[in-house]
Amino acid sequence: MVEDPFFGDQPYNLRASAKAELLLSALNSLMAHHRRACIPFQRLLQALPNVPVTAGSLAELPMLPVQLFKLQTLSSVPQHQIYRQLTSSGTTGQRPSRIFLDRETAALQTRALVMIVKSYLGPHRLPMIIVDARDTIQNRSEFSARALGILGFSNFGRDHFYLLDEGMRVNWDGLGRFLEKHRGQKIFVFGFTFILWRYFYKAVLDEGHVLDLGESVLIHGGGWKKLHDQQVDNLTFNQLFRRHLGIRQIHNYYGMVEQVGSIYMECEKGYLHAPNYADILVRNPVTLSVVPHGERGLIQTFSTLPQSYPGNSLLTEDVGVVISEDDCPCGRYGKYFVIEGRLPAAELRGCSDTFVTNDG
Amino acid sequence: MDSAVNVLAPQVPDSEWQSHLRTLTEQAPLQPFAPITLDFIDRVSQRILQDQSLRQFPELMAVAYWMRRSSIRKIQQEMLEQMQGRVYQPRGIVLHFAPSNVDTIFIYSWFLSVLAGNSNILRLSARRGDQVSILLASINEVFETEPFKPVRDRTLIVCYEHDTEITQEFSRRCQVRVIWGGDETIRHVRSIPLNPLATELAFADRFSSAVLKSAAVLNASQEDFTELVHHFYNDAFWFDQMACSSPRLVMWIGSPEETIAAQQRFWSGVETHLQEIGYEPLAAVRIRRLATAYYYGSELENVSISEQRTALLTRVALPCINERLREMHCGGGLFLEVSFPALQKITATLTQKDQTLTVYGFSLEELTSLAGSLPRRSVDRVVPVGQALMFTSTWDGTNLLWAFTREVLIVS
Repeated sequence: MVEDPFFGDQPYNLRASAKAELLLSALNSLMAHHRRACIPFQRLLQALPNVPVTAGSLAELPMLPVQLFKLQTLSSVPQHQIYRQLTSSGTTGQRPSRIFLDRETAALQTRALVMIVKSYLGPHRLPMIIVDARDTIQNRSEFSARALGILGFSNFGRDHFYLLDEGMRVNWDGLGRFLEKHRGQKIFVFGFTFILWRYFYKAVLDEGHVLDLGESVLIHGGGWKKLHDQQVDNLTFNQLFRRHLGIRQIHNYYGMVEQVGSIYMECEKGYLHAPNYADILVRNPVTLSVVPHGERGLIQTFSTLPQSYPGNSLLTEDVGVVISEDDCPCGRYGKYFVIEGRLPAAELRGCSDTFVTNDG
Repeated sequence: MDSAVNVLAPQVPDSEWQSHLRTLTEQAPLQPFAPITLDFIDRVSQRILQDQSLRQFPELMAVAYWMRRSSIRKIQQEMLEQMQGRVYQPRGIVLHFAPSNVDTIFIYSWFLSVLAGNSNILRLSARRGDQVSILLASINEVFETEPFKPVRDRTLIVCYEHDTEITQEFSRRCQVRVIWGGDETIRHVRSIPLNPLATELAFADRFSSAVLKSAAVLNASQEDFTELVHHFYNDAFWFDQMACSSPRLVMWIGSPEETIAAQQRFWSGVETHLQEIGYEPLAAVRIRRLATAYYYGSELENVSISEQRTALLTRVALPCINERLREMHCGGGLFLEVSFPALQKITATLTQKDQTLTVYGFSLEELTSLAGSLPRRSVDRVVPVGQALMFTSTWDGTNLLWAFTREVLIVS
């Protein structure tokens, strides 16, 4: 693989002064590549006013609304080079996002993820509890975001134990045997935020189990939408998991199927961090102009990983605030931020369908 | 099954909807344009027009104006002229499915059927705006005043979730079923059988355009131009461009030079108006609009996307328009634009999805000649800019009053 300045031995060591230039030049050449290789992207750049051939700053780079991946087929590689197709969980009535990966992009994603997660878990594989059902990962030709997350993170564990059965019920006996076997060891627990809450935490409470997972590390992601509806935020989540499951080290991560690999992990101080090969900007939701640190707005994410589809600069529908850059008390460099939620869904009026329900 | 039905009008407990339905089915039909129905509609209209606090709801005001006695009289006059002494009777019971979000349309459908003398069952969507709640409150108050008992006993307005059994029960009893769109809803309701003697009206998803003569927009006096902009705003923005008759596409007719200049004048006028009235799009609507504009930009060669300075609307100039491009439109301030050298050229692009053309700057002869060369099933209304949302008793090519009545043929 080509020597890459972003992949040193750790993922948070670039300061703003160095990072800005490296990132911009990498993204500019990726844009040029996709402009050549992805016809719809090329057409779009021609349709937009004021797209610079070479952007002078991250803010000047063209950005694609993530919804566009639901509306348009965007691939920068010929069909036969597509190695995996990822799909997002679309809400009812909507088409899912489709992301096309070639081997190179998939490898870059894995490499980035390994660097980020190892910086939290350490170099050794830990006994791993996957809070999900084994059959979630069964369809191997088309990957859901959840299946991909499980497979990606499985690389950091050994002796994998799937906690839930196909009915999404906790296998208490299996859990007991697993904990017995690995008594005294650090355990890696992984799952999706909502699954953890709904099928693990609730089951612990409802069925009156007393658990102490002790020296374990929990990493979870996948979004807060369903939990925010129940008034559960990150802080509450951490407190309750600590109290009822005994997990002391918990890291949420922010990521999306459109930019797999370059995830934003929550540090010990509770902030999400941009790794070397990714960055974020916050934009005013209506004017879309960049807002200063400390101001709330829509998150734009940058990633140098996507080679096989033009997903390097995306406008998300997530709302958040950048705290600052390079000076997080946790010691990592790069921007650190918090996500505060999602744009509320647009309820447009119209002669639309009376019988279509919103909740899937 | 009982608890699934929420009765919105008249004021009877939810649990008694079936007994009220029995009352309704037992009533004899009224005569077309019976004085009691005219009085009822006028009373509801007055209640709304006299309440100053309701001035903030322009669509509600429009409904109330349509319901005034003078306007209803006009509808009656027209009907009488068309009847030419023939005998018409109501059809009986009419079942209406209101659309989920152009939420005031149920009033037109219902009141035309009331005027025809029918009893009416209406199913409203659970997603209802404030204006509908206000309307229902007014209707319920009027229902409780003594003279209007005959209308009250012939009305059942309900809300229920996607329940096939309830729709079956209603469909079995009605003589006319009216489905106000969404294609999905039409498919669903049509899968439920009707009484063999019943007829059905279905208003499917449609698409509408403004057709502007570039030279006329350019040469309009300031006064006329301001009026044009206000009218266009009403057509497009009252329902966030989501009403079937709201323009989503603007067809410009003229030479390229004229059109470019006209576009400039027109859109900066619309934008100024949006600013003046303090129009604020929802962020999510704005982002969806952007994504959809980007879809258009990536789908075809030679598209041009322009975001106005204030980001209050997005324009997408397209080299052509087709069915697929129409379907992808998301509403919320997104305007597709296609230019043509002459009015007749637009007919090649029209499809059966096209419903309303809101026009500006054309003579009656030009419009009549256009209407004469429309392709199969395309375009049901050609109206001036400003009247896109104006309801008339003829909708999508069907005269509702006629559909709600039957002729008793007398051969002597």
